[in-house]
Amino acid sequence: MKARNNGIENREEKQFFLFISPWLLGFLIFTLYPMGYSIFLVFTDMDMTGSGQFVGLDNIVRAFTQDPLFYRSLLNTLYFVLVSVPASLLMSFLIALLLNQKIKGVGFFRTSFYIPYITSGVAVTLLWGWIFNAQFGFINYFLSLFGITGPNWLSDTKWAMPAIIIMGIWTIGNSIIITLAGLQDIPEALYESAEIDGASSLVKITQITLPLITPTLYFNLVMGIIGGFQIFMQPYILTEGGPSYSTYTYMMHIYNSGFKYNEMGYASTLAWLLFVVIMIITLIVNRTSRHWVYYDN
Amino acid sequence: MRKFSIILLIGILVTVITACSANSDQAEGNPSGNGEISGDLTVFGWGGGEELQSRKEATKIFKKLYPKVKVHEVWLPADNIDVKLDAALAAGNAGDVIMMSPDWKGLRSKWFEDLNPYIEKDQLDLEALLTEGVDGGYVDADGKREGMPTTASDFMIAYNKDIFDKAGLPYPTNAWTWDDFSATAKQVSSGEGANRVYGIVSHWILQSFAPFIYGGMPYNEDWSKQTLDDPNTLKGYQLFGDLVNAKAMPDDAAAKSMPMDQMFAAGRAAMYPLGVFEASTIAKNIGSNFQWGIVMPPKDPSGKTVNIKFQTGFAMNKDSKNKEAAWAYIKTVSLNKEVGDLYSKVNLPAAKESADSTFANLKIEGTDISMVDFVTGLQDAITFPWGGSIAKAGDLYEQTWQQVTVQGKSAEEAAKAYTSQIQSALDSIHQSK
Repeated sequence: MKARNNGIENREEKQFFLFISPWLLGFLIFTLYPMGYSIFLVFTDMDMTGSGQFVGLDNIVRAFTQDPLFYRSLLNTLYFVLVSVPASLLMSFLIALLLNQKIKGVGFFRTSFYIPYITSGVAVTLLWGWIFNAQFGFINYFLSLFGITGPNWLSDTKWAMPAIIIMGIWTIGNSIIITLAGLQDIPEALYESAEIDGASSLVKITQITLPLITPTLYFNLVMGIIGGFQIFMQPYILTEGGPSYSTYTYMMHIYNSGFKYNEMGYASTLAWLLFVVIMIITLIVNRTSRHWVYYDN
Repeated sequence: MRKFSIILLIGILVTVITACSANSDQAEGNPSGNGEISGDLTVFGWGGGEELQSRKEATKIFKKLYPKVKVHEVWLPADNIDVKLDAALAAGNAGDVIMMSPDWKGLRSKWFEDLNPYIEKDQLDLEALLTEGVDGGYVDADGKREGMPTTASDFMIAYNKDIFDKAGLPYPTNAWTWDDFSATAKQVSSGEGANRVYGIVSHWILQSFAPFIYGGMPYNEDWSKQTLDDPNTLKGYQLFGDLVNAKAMPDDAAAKSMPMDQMFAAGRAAMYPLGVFEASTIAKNIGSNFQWGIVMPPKDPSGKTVNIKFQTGFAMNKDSKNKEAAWAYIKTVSLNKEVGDLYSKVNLPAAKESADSTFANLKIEGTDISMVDFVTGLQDAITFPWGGSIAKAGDLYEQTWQQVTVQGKSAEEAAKAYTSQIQSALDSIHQSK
């Protein structure tokens, strides 16, 4: 009996590896190997054609001591993350609250809020360029109805990044859906009990909804931070990092270093430094989560 | 053990046979100089639309001349070429003949064969055979010839005669200076807001003109030292900043409101820097909207016309297995008159015979405007200054341009902000060479 069970286990183990082998091969070839190679590149000055030599820690030293764009791009990206992530969390929470109502046509609204997430891309980014146009854009036209002269959004060093942030917040459909799922997971009985006790809507939100939604918010926060640090498409297409490097993000610096300036070694260094930064911030968030994330088990 | 030995023996035999076969293929593809040129040849390049069509037709002409050479062409979209070419070079399958440009500034020169011995062997007098101005930049500072030119493109200033007539101004002439240009642009501008007619469009090429228009330069001859803070260079940037301030050139917001070629074609700008490559497109867009003409770009204080050129040529991969066929291809597409006549439809050909006859006799499609000025304009034209190895510094020069034309800062202020960064970028480029 034991031998027969071992035979079944062996067969199941082989089947397991057989079924995951396509993914495993893909992971090894297209993820793990390039990651390993890029660590090797950190210590070289290789270009795109693979020629170069070992330079030790020069790339890392260069990033911290000789490259003003390293700090500039990192600060720009931090600015984006520090504003867009909390704003996205707040907006997705509020909108999810609204979408959690049992009203007619809520499906239409849920779809409407999700569509920007799946339609975002180059074409939509270009459209946003038109919306932000200082002369003919919709936003400045709308502001002019209230007697406000809108700024020169994408050409003004003060307003270019806020414009990018606004574009980023527009695509929070995914966060909304995840938050909505979290809201629907909260037992109805808790609200009913609170209502019996005479709790107001505000009390219900702050004392029931918020504590129980914290795991979802924590997830959105971490994903938002990781995604925020990788912001690339919108500034690349709309402003190319300008004006005056005000929207020059860290990912753009990695891209330019690798593909424009032909410095693959340095670009790999920047990529791994970004990994470290994101890891540190995620660990900090994780550490603080024990104080504000409530798990009902 | 016996089985293993048999398998090993068979493997060795197969390897030896294959190697011998490859060697004999090589011998056929690379005759020692006797007999006709034959074998396989891979051509790697970029292009789109009519330009690509002309390159394919040029290859057909080569095939007629060298019927025993089997040509395999790899053509890519121009915006993809850098990444794909570098990947191909790294993988060792970049082809025998590689399209290149001198504005790469030696970026990939380590992959290219020195063509001087081939030119000497064939006793080619390139000065007599090539269009004046088309060959600049193909020989590096050490004397190595990296490639041979096939086509080039320079710029003329297209002007809207109707706008000039309405402003009561005479049309510009080839003798004009950049001060004349600036004054003219301000004088022909009119209107306000959405109805503003600008003197000159905010064309991407103007940034390349700026450092040179008063005799300055963005960097020295071997691009080891920036010269942005030279007063003449700064004056050039300031001219365009003043044009934006005077609303003779669209500001950033206005420039983003419509493509610049359409702004000119719609009669919303009096002047437009017209490249050879876009002449027929612009002509089609203008149609019969207005009368227009072209004039040479203005002169710098020394009397030299300031012009920018884009050049395309072919290099030989130093690892090519069929160098004779590769050289035959490069020579054909560079110097053959039939090929030159073909290129004349889309660009300025390198073959002098074609440039001085076929191209010079052409008129811009649908107009009476002769193309001959483009040939003259090429003579003193400067190779596009921001490409290839210089890209990192080029981005910083672009920021300088934006500070002046978008942020409204003075050229001196912009130079203060970026001079040291540009110098660092040039230093790092030279360190990595």
